[in-house]
Amino acid sequence: MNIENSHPPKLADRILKWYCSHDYFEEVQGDLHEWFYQRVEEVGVKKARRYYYLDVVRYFRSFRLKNTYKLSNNSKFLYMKTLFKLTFRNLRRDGLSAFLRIGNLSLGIVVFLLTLVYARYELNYDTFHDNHERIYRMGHTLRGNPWAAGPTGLGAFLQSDMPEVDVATRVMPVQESWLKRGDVIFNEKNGQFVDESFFEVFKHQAIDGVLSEALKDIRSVVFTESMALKYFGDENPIGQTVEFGDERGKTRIVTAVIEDVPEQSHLQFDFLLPIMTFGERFTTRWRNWGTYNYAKLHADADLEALTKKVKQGYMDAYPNNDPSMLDTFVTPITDIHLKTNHEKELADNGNISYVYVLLSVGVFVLLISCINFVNLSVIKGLDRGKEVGLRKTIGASGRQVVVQFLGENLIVICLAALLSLIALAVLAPVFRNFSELNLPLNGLYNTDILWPVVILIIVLELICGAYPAVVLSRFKPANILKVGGKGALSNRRLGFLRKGLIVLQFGISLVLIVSSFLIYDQVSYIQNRDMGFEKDQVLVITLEDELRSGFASFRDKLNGISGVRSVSASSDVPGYRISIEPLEELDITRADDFSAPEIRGIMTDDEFATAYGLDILEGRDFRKGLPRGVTEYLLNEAGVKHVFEGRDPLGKRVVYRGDTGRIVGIVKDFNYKTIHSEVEPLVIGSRPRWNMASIRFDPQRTKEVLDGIADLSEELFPSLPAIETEFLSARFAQLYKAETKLKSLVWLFCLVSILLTMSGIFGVATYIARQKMREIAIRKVLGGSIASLFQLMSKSFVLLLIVSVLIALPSAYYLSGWWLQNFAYQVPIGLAGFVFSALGVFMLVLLSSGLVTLKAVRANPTEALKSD
Amino acid sequence: MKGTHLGELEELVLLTTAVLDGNAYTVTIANEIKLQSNRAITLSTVHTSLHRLEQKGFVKSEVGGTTKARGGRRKRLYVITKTGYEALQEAKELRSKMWDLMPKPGF
Repeated sequence: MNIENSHPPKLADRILKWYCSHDYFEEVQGDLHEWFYQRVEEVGVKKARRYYYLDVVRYFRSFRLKNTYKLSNNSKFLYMKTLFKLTFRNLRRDGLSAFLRIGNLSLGIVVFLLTLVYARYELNYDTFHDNHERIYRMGHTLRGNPWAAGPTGLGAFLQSDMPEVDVATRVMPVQESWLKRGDVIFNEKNGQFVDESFFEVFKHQAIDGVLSEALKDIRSVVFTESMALKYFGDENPIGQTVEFGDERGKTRIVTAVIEDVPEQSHLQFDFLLPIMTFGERFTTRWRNWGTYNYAKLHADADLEALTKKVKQGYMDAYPNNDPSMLDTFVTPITDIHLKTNHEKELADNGNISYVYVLLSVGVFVLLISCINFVNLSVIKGLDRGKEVGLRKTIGASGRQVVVQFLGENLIVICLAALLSLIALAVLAPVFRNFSELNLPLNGLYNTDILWPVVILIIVLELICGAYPAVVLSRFKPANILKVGGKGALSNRRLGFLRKGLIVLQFGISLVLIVSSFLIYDQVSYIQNRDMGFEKDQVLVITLEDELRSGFASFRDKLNGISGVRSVSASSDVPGYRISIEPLEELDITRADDFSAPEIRGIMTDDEFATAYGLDILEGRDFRKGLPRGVTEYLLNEAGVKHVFEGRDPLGKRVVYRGDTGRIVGIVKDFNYKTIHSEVEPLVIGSRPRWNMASIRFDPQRTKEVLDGIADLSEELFPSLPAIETEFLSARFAQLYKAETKLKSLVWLFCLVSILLTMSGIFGVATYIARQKMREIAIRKVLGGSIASLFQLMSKSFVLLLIVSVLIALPSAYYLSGWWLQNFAYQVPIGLAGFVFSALGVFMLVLLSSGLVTLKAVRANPTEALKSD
Repeated sequence: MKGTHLGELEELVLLTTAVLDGNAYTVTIANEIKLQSNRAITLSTVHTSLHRLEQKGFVKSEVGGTTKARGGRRKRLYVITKTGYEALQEAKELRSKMWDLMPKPGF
């Protein structure tokens, strides 16, 4: 290889030339070339060329870069450097004020971003599906009562007869049952029967298998990733079989595995089965009103026409009924999570008013912190009149002063924003843990966080930077310097702004405090209210096939456990949604099928009233040991009103769910849902359906009872998963979880707002005290008492406070009234809460301003006056 | 000027600069270090050390003549300064002092 002909790669040279500053280029390139030729002799041209690239890259150090060189000699860069230096010097000079400003703002931003992220999370349910704005759930109202689920045949009808519908799919919950694969067996309660077209409507990511083919075979099953892991571990589940308890151990073949359903979906499931398992006939009939019918519509679909045609479909299926009883509607799937709470809703949905409550609290806290920041920054800026005067004398132009102020403020604001982003990311696990939601709290990955922050920075910059900057830059330096940098600014107009902001701030904190009192009251009221039955001493077991068939012996064994007082089997239990059906009164003629009054019903045995401790007001409980085929009914007070409208119900013959029987008693209303709603009409029938078992136990012997049930489970079904029990009180706690969390969050944020308000007042008071130092000193010399001086100083705050109380209390009253509308049982809005919170804020303000004032008042007057 | 601490690599480069006496530039220094210590060292490492040494005032540099191997490009020759020499001396003294303090190891 001829050395003369080999040369270093041109491209590498160009790269070097591109980044390397002129000062170093010639030397570095020369060195590299010399090194290269040396290498050529040692290892050959090819390798040497490769090494050459590496060497060029290795030379990439900041001091050799073109830009560093340019930058360090650029006047703007140098100016920035001084700006930063000056900013930090100023911050350090008055550390307390800097701490208050930055800390306040960061805290406010953190609270605001938290509520924002939470609200966005809740509001974005089901938006991950492609074309989610075109996906609807078909619903209907029966006598004005909205239902989420409809007849199974509706789905088939939508697909075949409605041109507006692109694709329709049905979803029908699978009964809780066990799944088994080899030795692995678990209870599964979260499966859905769906149409083959399910994945055309809802977007789910396939991990394995072809989704469009996955549900074609009626023996197929689609697993989520965690299910696949649970049953198959590391093995490939595709093509393998599982045994399914609900089908008496028949096997199903896994055809696809999808990613776990995103948390932000109202439609949660662990596995999917083809609805065609039931056959063509079942799935086209307009019966079995427990199916959820979803449809993806064409973009130009006319919703109104569609609902009319669907209603016609219902009418054709039920030709003998009064059309005014039934109506149809569509719900966009993105509205389901927060805006609907219909009959047979698939999930415990959220409540949009809570989202708004939290979001407004977040905005309020942010406002308070921004007001603090503006107040303190403006004060701080105007305090520097002397510095500006001096600068201008030396030759700074008005523009330079403006830039200086704007720059300083921008740095401080950005610092606060940065701190809050860091705090948010660091505290993310805590927030996630508390909310039990996987909130995206890292600003780096979530532009939803970054945008508001950027906007906030700009707005704050304009308000707190621009004002003092412009005001100060206009002043004649001589004027400022002459009067010592204080009197030069006519503080009056600014004072008005400041006072307005303080009033606003007091007002907002007051509203927050009053509201949190009220929310606290209301939530405790709900949680402690008497439900009308014993929820703390009842255990619930969901009964499956095996238990159902041998329930009598199971009950006897349960009764044998010491600590068990009563065992009852029923179709439904309080705390879960109880299905609603028409109650037909015999011996009375009604127009048609739909006109019989609808009423929720529990079908159960003669132990139910005992197990739940229900009060029988009139008549009697079910007779013990009723013969087969004889049914008796109990009605609650609301039910009597609803069905009999003032007539005496006792002894009347009624038909409910196909069983004819007499009404034998009236039970006192008990709240079997939550206290959000009033007690609804309820019928209790003596025809046990063994869906759930309720066990009334002795609270002193809870452990024995639980152990007894576990032993029983082991004894009866050694090969099946253990029987799962649930405390009814735990279920109700679950139902009130949203309120409980709201309560603690609102309290926390309320505390934050108090803290912010106090620190803001503290900052302003410090400033005023410093400004009035000489006035105080002179008054003191002339004989003013400490008390009178204190009064003088606090007067302005107290006046502002009174103004804000006058504004805030009515708004708080209005707001809380609005929030309380969500509840059927409302705690009265007490005057005490208002007076108490107003007084509380009063004390806090006096305390924070008083400390500063007192210090100023008690200072030695000579200290303040000696410099004059 | 930043601190005048002498790092291990910097000490080595400075020593080599002194050894090469007048003919010290990046390539020759790298070659010499390789020769003496059998330690593979890249040009950029040497250059960065020289840059730091110059900032600390331990070496000074001037642009020197051209050679054919460099395609006519001038090179920058480095010479040790008095303070550089003193820094080396100091480092050496510190070491010998520590050596004197060390008891005879028992292995």
